[in-house]
Amino acid sequence: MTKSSTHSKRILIVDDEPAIRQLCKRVLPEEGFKVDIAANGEVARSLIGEQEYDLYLFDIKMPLMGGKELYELLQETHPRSATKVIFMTGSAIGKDTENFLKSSGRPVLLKPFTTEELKTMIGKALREIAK
Amino acid sequence: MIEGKSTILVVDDEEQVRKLMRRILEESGYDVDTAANGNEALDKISEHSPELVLLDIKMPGKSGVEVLHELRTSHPDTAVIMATAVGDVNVAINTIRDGAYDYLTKPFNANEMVITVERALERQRLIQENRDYQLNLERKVAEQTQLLQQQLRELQAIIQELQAFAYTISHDLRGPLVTIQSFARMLRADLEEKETGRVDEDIRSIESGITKMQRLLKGILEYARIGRVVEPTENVPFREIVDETLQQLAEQVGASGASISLAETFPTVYADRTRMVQVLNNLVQNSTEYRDKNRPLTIEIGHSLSGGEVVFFVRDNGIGIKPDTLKRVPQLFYRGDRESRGTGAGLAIVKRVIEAHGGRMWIESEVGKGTTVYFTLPGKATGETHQGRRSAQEAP
Repeated sequence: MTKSSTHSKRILIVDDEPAIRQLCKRVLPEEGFKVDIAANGEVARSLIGEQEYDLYLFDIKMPLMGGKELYELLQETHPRSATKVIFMTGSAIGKDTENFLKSSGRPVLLKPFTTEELKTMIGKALREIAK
Repeated sequence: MIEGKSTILVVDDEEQVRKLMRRILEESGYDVDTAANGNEALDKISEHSPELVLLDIKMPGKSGVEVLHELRTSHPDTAVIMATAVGDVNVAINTIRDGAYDYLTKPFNANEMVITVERALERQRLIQENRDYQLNLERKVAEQTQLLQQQLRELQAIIQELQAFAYTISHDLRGPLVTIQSFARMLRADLEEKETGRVDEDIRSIESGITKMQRLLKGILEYARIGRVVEPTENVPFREIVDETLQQLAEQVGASGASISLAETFPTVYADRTRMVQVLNNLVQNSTEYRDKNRPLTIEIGHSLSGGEVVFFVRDNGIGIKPDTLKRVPQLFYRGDRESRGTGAGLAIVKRVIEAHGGRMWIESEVGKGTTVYFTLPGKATGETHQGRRSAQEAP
C-alpha cells in the first residue's frame, strides 16, 4: 500500500477502549488516512449522518450502542457504506454475536491486534472494496 | 466351640453307628442330628443347614458319593467327612477330589473322629472368615472408589475452572501488553526520527497499558484469594455488613452523589463477615461506576422473602445492562465499560463468594432503568432481625 493511493481515504473508528482509539489515531494518519474517531455509538451515529467514509471500523461490544447496531443503522441509511465495515472484537463473544458476524460476511479484526495486523486488515479491505 | 454349638448331621444306614457317633460327638460338645439314608440326609441339610455332615459312603438307595455330589452344588459351604469301610479306601480318596474334606475308616477311632471333625470345622470357619473378609474388603474398596471418583470429579471441575482462569488471564493480559508493545515501538521510532513532540503521548499510552495490567493483576489476586472455602462463618447482623461497606465506600459514594436507601431492618445471616463486606462493596461500587449521568443515582439495599427464603438485593437506577451481555457480566474480567476503573473481577468475586456460602446470585437489568443484583445466603442464621439506624446518606 503506498501512501499516494490512500491519501484521500477517510476511515471512521468507533471503540470505547481508549488504547485502541489511541493506537488508530496514531498509526493510521501516518499511513496517509484521514481518521475520525468516536468513543461510543452515539457520537458515531452523528458522524455517520454527516458524511460517508471509505471504511468503518466498529467495535462490537460497546455500552448502549454497539457495532451491530451501527452496522444495522448503516444498512438502513447508507446501504452502500454497510459493505465497507470491519468489525473489531475480543475473542470472548457469545453465540449470538458469533452468528451475527458470520451472517454479516464482514471482516473481523480480533483484539488485541498489533499495528501490523491493523494496517494489513485495512489494506486488504480497501482492495476488496475497490474491486 | 465357644460361640454356640456347631451342628453336625450324621448319615449312616446302621442305627448302631448313628447312635455311637452321636454319643461321641455330643460328648465333644456338638449339636448332632442323624439321617438313615441319602434322601433323608438331603432333606435335613436343606432344612437345617448343618455345618458339617458325616456321610457314610455305602448306603442302600442314594449312596454317600451321590449325596456328596448334590451337596457340592446345593450347599458348597457345608463341610463333608466321608465314612467308609477299610476295603473302600480308594472310593473315599476319590471323594476328596470331589470336595469332601477327609474320610474316616470304620471301625471308628473316637479320638481320630473328633480331631478330624474339629479340623474340618476349623477349616470351614477360616474359609468363611476369609470370605467375609473379602466381602468386607470389596465393600471398602467400593466405598473408597466412590470417594475417589467424587474427588476426581471435584478435581476435574477445579482443573476446568483453572483452565478457564488461565485462559482469561492470558487473554486479558495480552490486550494491555500489545498496547505497551505498540507504543514502545512507536516511541523508539519517534526518538529515532526526532519526533519529540509525540514522545509524551507514547509514554502516556505505555503507562495506561501498565495501569491496566496492574488493575487486572489486582483483580486476579483478589479473586484467587477467595479460595474455595469461605471461613469462618458466624452469625452476623446483615446491617453491620451494610454499615461497614458504606463506611469503606463513603468517599466514592459521596463523589457519585448517590442517595442510598436501606431496609428498616435486616436479618442476621450466617456468613463470613469479611467476604460479605467484599460482596456488598463490589455491588455498591458497580452501582456508582455504572451510573446514568443524566439522573441522580439512587442505590437501594434491601431484602425480601421469596419462596420461603430471604433474598437480598442491591438495586440502582444506573445505565443498565443489555440482555445479551447479561449472562457474561459475572464472568471474570468482563467489563461493561472499558473506561471503568474496575478490575472486571467484581461480579465474578461476588458470585464466587455467594456460591461458596451455598447461595445463588442473579441479576435483573433494563437498559436505561437500572440494575438489581440479587443473592441468597442459605446458612443457618438465627433469623432475628437487627434494628438499624437510618443511613446518613439516606435519601430525604
